[in-house]
Amino acid sequence: MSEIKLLSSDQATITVQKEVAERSILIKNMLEDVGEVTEAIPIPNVNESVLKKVIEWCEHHKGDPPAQADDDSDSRKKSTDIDEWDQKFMQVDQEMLFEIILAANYLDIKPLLDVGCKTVANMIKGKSPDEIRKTFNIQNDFTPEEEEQIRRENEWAEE
Amino acid sequence: MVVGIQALPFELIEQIATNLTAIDDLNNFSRACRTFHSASQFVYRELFLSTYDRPNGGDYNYAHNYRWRKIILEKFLRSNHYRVENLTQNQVRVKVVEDVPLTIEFLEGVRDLIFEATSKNFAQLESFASKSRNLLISSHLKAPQTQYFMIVQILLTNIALTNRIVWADSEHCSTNTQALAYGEAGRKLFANDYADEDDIIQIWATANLFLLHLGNRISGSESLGLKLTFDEICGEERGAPDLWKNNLWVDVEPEFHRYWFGLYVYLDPPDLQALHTFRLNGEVHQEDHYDGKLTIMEFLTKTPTTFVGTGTDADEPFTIQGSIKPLPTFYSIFKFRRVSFTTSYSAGDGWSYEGCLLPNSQTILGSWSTSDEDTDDPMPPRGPFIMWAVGKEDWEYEKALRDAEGRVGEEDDFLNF
Repeated sequence: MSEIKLLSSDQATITVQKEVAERSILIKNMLEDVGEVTEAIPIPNVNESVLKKVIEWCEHHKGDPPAQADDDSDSRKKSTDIDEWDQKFMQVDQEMLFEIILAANYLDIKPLLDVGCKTVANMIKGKSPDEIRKTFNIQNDFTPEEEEQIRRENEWAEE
Repeated sequence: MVVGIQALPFELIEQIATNLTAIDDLNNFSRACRTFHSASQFVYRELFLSTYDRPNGGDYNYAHNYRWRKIILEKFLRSNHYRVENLTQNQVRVKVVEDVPLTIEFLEGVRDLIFEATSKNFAQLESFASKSRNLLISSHLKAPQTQYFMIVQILLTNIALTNRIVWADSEHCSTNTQALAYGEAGRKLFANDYADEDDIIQIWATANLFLLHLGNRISGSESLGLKLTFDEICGEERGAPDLWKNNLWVDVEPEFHRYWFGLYVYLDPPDLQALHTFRLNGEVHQEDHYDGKLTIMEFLTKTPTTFVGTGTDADEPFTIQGSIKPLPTFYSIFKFRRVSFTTSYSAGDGWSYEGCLLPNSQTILGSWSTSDEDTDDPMPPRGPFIMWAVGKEDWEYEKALRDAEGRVGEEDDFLNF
């Protein structure tokens, strides 16, 4: 089983099975373009701890069938379904969660990106706007006029 | 630097929002901050378009309209006072199971769809009417008409929830179209001898179309589906159709008036079909394809069931031959009359009109089509029309204007009956 090396943004070299690394479409395309590589492939946007976490996910899912490219039609129906292993995998602090999402986006690992987005969505579900702000430590930046407009749009929707 | 949700690119926040399947969650998310509000608009749009046809307006408020339809209308439809039967893909029949007093909640829920009110709830309706721009009240209706009132409301509510429908609410009607009314009014009336009730329901849909498009115009807007708006075609003070006078049904003896103004709408059938089948990808720009033209007509009764006349539309004069006959009682309202006529231009071509003279004797609504229909054409041109009775002075004033503009042929071009 061939192996390749990845170089994280903080200059750590991580050795990984080629098959595992190729869960990343970015890396897969790169390897197809350049053929055999002996040097470590730089992953400039992802640090070691995040890269290791992403590789952990890729290792677990290395045998998964490839994602359907245009399978967006009923994605909403499946949105709450997260694999049990993935749920545990995503039990990390918020910073790591968003780092994983950003890494999955950069490395083009769609299933991992989906799991990350679903995890964030699950953190939003059932919460009021104020609770959502507290959860993610964000400010209410609506102007009073915008607040009023939104309130009016929603007033009939509330019991 | 600590990475938070706001470090995510906008498209990833949108992707998170697409996983919020419950409308309440999406609403709350959109209210948390500006970024989330912006990101949720994409999802509302996706949800709206997965259920309804695409509206025409570039700045259509998908969030507002999706919430409105989903929450309010579905709440309304959960009541068990009626039964809906899908006859075909394009036809829905609604049967009232029991007659219940309307509640103000009902009215709030269907405020943009209400057509007619009943004396049973008149006090509530009066206060409601002051807030609504799209409510027609007939104070003369009595208890038996309650069922009829329910039918119209429920029908229109269902219409709004049917997949293929776009309807324009009063705030956005200048930029949106009501595909249902266009589509249904494009269906040929009285094609089936046993479908008079369906035909009359279609008449209401047509009335709704004209009411929305002509009655709630935003001044200065050029994006109306009907390019010529009511005020522009006949002036604010001259000859308003009774549809605008809150008087679709009055207890008067049937008459057949002599002078009429009319407005017809043309929607190219392929465009209509495109509108019905449109989904997420692609654009439909249909505003350019329909047009409203003022027609003036003069009818002279020849026998109790036939009439002849003359008229002119935007292009040229024509002659008219037609017939009129009573229709069966419709939900306790009698005096609907079927009006059919053909127009003939000097070149030998012409149009066929099929419609209903409403019980107030003031308004005819229906659909038009080519008079010499090509049977090989699967979708011959047709569309809805409205005509309203006007006084002799209004009619003569309009005719004089046209004569002065040279839009009407010489007097000899008119046949004299």
